[in-house]
Amino acid sequence: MTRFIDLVLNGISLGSVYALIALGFVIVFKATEVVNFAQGSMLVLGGYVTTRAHDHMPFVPALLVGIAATAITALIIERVLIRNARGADVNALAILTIGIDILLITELTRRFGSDVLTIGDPWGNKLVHLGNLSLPQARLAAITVAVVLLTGFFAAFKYSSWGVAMRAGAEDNEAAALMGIRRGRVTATAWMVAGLLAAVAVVFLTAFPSPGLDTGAREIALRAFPAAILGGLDSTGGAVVGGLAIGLAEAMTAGYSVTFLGGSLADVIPYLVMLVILLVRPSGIFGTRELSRV
Amino acid sequence: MLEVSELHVSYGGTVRALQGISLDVPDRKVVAVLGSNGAGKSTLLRTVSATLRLHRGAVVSGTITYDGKSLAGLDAARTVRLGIVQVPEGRRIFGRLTVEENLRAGGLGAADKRSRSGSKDRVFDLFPILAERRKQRAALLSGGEQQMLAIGRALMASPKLIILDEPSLGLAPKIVGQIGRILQTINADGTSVLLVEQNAVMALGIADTAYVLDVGRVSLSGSAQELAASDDVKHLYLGHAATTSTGARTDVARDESLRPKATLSRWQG
Repeated sequence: MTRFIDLVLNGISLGSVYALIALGFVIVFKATEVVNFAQGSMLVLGGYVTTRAHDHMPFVPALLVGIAATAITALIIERVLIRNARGADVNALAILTIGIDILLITELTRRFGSDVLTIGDPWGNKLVHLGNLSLPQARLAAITVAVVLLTGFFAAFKYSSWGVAMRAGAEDNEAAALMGIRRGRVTATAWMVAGLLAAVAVVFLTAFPSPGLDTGAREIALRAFPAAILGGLDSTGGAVVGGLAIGLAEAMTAGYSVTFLGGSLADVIPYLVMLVILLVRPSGIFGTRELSRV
Repeated sequence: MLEVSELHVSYGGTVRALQGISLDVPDRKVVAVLGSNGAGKSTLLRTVSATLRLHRGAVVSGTITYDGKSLAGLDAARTVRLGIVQVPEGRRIFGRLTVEENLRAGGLGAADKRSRSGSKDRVFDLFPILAERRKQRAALLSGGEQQMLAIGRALMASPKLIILDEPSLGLAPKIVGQIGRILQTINADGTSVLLVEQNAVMALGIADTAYVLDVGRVSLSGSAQELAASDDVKHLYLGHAATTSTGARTDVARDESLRPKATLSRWQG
C-alpha cells in the first residue's frame, strides 16, 4: 500500500510537470492554431540558460534569467517566423516549428557535449518523511509550483482582458478583429507564456531523482504532447487532466516494472494511453464539440 | 462623416467585387445599402472595417475617408478606435463565451477604456434580456437574442458609426421590427448607422438615404422615401405580388412603432 501511495504521489508530481508543458502546447495552439513542436527544445534551452546563469548567481535569479531567455526566444519565433507567415497554412507552420526544434536542439547538443548538467535547484536530494513514506522534496515542490502556476494561469484566462481576447480570438478570429482586438498581442503573449511554462517545467523534470539535464529532456518533454492531445488540443483544462493521466500511467508502469513490450513500457505508455483515448473520443477528452442549441 | 469614393476592390487580383462605388454616410444619419447576394455589400463593409486582407482582397483604387481622414492602411483595431464598429453578418457572437464575456470582448477595442461600465449599463438598458442571461453561454441564446448580443457587443466600443451587415438575416418578422426600432434608438442617441440589408422594407423604414448595389456598382441612390417609391426597388425588393412571405414583410413596414417616435421612453437621459 505504501508503495502504491508512493507511486501515486510520484505520478501526480510528474503529471503536474507534464501539465505545465502540455498547457504550453495548448495555449499556442489556441492562439495561433499551430502545434509548436519546438516546445521540447525550448524547454532544454530554458534549463541550459538557468544552469549557466546559476554559475554566477543564486538559483532563483538564475531561474528568472532562464525563464526570460526562453520567453524571449518564443517571442522571437512568433514575431519573426509565425507572424510573418500569416496566411500560410497552419500545417506548414507546424512543420516550420519542427525545423526550429531541430536547429535549437542541434546547437544545444553541441554546447552540452556529453555533459549532464545539474540545474542547481535548492531541493537537491533532500527527502520529506511522511509516516512510512519518504519523498524527494523536489517532487512536492513540483506539485506546489504547478498548482500555483496553473491557478494563476486559469484565473488570468478566465478573468483578464488577455484571457477574454484569447478565447474570443480562438473562437472567431475575424469577429474578434472587428471588435478591435489585436491578435498579434494575444499570440505574442501566448508564446511567451508557453516559454515560461517550459522553463519552469525543466527544473522539475531534471531535479532529483532524475540524473540531471541533458538533451534527452526534450524527449521526456515531448511526452506532454500526448497529454495535450488526449485532453483535447484546444482545451486548457484538458491539458491538466491529460498531464496527470500520463504522469500517473508512467509512474505506475515504471513502478510495477511491467514487462509487456520489453520492459520499457513506461516510455511508451503516454502514447498508448493517447491512442486508446483517441479511439474512444477522437477530439480528446475535452476537445471542442459543437455546442448547439437544442 | 464616412465618404467612400470611386472604390474598386478585387479578390486575389482577379475577381472584381466592387467597380467604382461612391457613397456617403452623413453625421447622425441612417444609411441603407440594398443589394442581392454577390452585389458587393459585404466587400464594401470589409473594406471599411479593414478585414479585407483576411479574405485576400485588396483595394485597387478609390478612397474611404472618415471625418476627412483616409482609412487606407489602417488595421481593423485602429478603425475600431476611430469609432467605426461593425456587427458582422451572421452575428458571429462568441458562442463559448458567456453573454457578459462577449460584451467584455466588445469593449476591448474601445478607444476610451473608462467608458466601458457605462456602455455596459447602456447595453443592458437597451436589451434587458441580455442582463437576464448575462451568465449564460452565448451559443444558448435564440437567434434574435444573439443578434441583440452582436449589436450590444459592438456598442461596447462606443461607436460613432455602427455598421450592420444583414442584421435581419434568419430572424422572425417580429424580431426584425424590434431590431429596427433598436437601431432607431441607437441612432437617436447620436450614432450614425450604416445598414446593409436584403430586407428592404425594414431598411427603408428606418433609413434617411439609401443605395442599391448591383454587381459591384451603385445602380440607384436617393432618399429612402424616393427609393421605396421607385418602381425598380418595388419590383426587386418589396415585391408587388402579395405572396405569403412578402406579405409578412409588408406587415412589418406598416407597423406603427417602426416609424420614428417623438419620445423614446427608455432612452431619456
